[in-house]
Amino acid sequence: MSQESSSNTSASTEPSKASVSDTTSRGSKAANFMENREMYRIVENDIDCTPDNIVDPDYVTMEETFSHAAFESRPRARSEVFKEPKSKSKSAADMGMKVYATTISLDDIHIDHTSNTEEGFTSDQQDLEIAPSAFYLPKTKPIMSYPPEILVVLTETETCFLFEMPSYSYDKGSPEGNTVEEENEFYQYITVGKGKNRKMVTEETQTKECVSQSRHTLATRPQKKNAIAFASLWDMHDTYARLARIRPEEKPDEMVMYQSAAPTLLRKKKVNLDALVENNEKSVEQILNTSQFLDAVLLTERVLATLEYSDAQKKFRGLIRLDALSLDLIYVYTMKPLWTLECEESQNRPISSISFNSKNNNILAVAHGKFTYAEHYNGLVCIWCTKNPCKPERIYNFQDPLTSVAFSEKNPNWLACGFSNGDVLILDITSYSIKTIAKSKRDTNPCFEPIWTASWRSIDKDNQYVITTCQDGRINKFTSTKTHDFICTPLMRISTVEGKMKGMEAPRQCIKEDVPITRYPAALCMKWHPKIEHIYLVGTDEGCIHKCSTHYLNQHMDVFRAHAGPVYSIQFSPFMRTLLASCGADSAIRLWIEGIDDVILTMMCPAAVYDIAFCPVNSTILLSASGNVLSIWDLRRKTHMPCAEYSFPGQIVLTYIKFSPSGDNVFVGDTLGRVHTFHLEDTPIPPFYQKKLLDETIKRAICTRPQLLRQLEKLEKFREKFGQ
Amino acid sequence: MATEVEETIKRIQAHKGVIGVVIVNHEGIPIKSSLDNATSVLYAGLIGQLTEKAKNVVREMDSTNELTFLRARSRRHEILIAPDREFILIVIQNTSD
Repeated sequence: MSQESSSNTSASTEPSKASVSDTTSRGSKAANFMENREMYRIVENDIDCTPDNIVDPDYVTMEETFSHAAFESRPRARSEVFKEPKSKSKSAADMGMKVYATTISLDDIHIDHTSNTEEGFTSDQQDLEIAPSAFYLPKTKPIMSYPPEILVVLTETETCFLFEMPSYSYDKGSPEGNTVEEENEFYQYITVGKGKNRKMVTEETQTKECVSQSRHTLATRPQKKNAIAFASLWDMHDTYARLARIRPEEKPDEMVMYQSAAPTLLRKKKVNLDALVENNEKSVEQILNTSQFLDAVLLTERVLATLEYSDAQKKFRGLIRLDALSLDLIYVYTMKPLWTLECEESQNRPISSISFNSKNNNILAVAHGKFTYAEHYNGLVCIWCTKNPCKPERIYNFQDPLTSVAFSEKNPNWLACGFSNGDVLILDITSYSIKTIAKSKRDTNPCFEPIWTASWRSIDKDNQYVITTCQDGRINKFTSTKTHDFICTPLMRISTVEGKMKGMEAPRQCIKEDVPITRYPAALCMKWHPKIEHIYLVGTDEGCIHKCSTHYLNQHMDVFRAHAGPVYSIQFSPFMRTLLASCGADSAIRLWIEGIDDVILTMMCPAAVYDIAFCPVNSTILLSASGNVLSIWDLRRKTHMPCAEYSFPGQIVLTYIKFSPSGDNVFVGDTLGRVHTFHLEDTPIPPFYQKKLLDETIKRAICTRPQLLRQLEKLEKFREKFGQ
Repeated sequence: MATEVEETIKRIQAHKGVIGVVIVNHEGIPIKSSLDNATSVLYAGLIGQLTEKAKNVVREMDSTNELTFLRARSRRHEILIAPDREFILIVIQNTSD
């Protein structure tokens, strides 16, 4: 031991030696150490209690050398057979015996019952097919070393008779001898003695002649195999439940009676339960066409899609977090593309509307219709799930192009669809084929022009209705009744506004021609007021926004001119309920504050703006889709131009833009039928006081117009005071 | 009708990384497969047993629940199993890229 420590210190004082040699020498030192240790024995109280080596040398090869005890065939010592073996195949005994090592055979007689008598040589291959016996003794480990003492116990076994020859003579006087004597006497008596005179009758009998014929048959050995069957408590429960359901239906058909028939013909119709169960022998096509199969395929495809899109999915779900404290943040507002929802059915078909499911915002419904007036397309609704960007989960084809879709909040599987021929439909998306809950009828629904928006509104806890706006200025309310009618009641009708309006400055219209073309402009977009329940705003294709109420059916409450062309979208800011953004075909986005008639801010875009979206997590960020350009506006940095712009290749027009609730992902729909999903990165960190920041931004934006600023301040004070 | 089914199966097979698709009926016999017969039978037997056990687990935990999907991921492959009363849909895909 001391020798060991000195060598250790010597090693440590020479660190300049090559490390390789050092480790090897150390390794060898370790081996030496173990050997050295072996030399020493620990003896306590004259008992040797040196601990064994922890690692058994056999352990390393244990896995390879271990074989199941049942398969091991130990050759047995053959003994002289005194008796003929019972089996016919004596030659078979010479073949490799397939009795297992753990079974014990009496007499060491090799009776090979398990060999296949019809075949020749039993090859090793055969072993695997014949199932091993289910009962076996566990193998004990081979003896490593012999113990100093072995106990041997000798017991008497059963007597086995090798040869028996009954004797004919018995000793006189022994009990057997006495019984034999008695029997002999009785025999004498009945044959020769007095017993001979007993009454006897002679009879003839005939034994039946039994014709026998010997035949040989060859029976093939039945192949046997061990198999596992498993039934749990719940399997049994399910089966009984299913049987209980089947049985009662059979009841009505019990008695089959014939008119003028004998009572013997009156019998119960045999309930062939087996036939019922066996009816499930469906063909391949039948199985594969059920909706359960389609559901299974759906789940599978979702899982398969994650393999391809796993990185994109991780970003989408927000699993990769941005480090807010990192030192190399640049605010460039990058949009990283995640995936594009497109399939061959939806190619080249413009998207007219997208709606997200209220219950599960991974599900979205995309409506394809037509974009320009001259196109001819059939309508298509695709239901996509963001978990499977490869294929839509439901596809519904319609005759007419669709113009709007909306998911219901109360029943998340109901989708209201508005068509370009004025029809309104409620679709149940749980079924693979088109299943309509309700459809509007011509007798109550007078619209024949495109339905531009559809939205759901609930009156009270149970009822809900669909509100639609139409090209002819009608705003209708659809309710579905108990009789499955979809009744349309008009809410109001937007009419053209004449004269000078508040709002933006518009060029004066030509009043030479007094007769207007149409008295009712199209209602292109509609938005419910976030705070007041009965108020909604409607944008028309004249550029005016009407503020209407469900309480007033004939007139609007207020109107102002928002754009010089049609208003395509109205959005409220999620952080400031009084801030309204509207976008229109005059390539402008305008911000309005409720209560002030002048426009707060105008933002110009390259082409007609079809949709805008406020970021739900960052109060000053706004996205707009105009032409094929996606612009990101950040109001706190600059308002005269967007902070970032992304152009899409080709001659497409972006028609739809929406943020996901997490605020990181953006969905963009275009006229080629594709929905692009992007991940917005490199944006400023969302501020803590969002509303305050937004206030400051707006005030800064109107700092050049002091009267407006004063007006805004007054309004704010008023609102604060009266808690509006 | 049949072509739609064929199309569905082809679509699954065309996914990236998919090695094979096997559809097994309720008796445990593969009715449609993109692999050779021996492998299909092997998969059918083994996965049938696994599905039984897994179904039992789910049911025992909560009697109102039932098994809809099972994924067995190994180092080289991943087996996706969608069981039903009438059939079992088995898809084998590669895990590594």
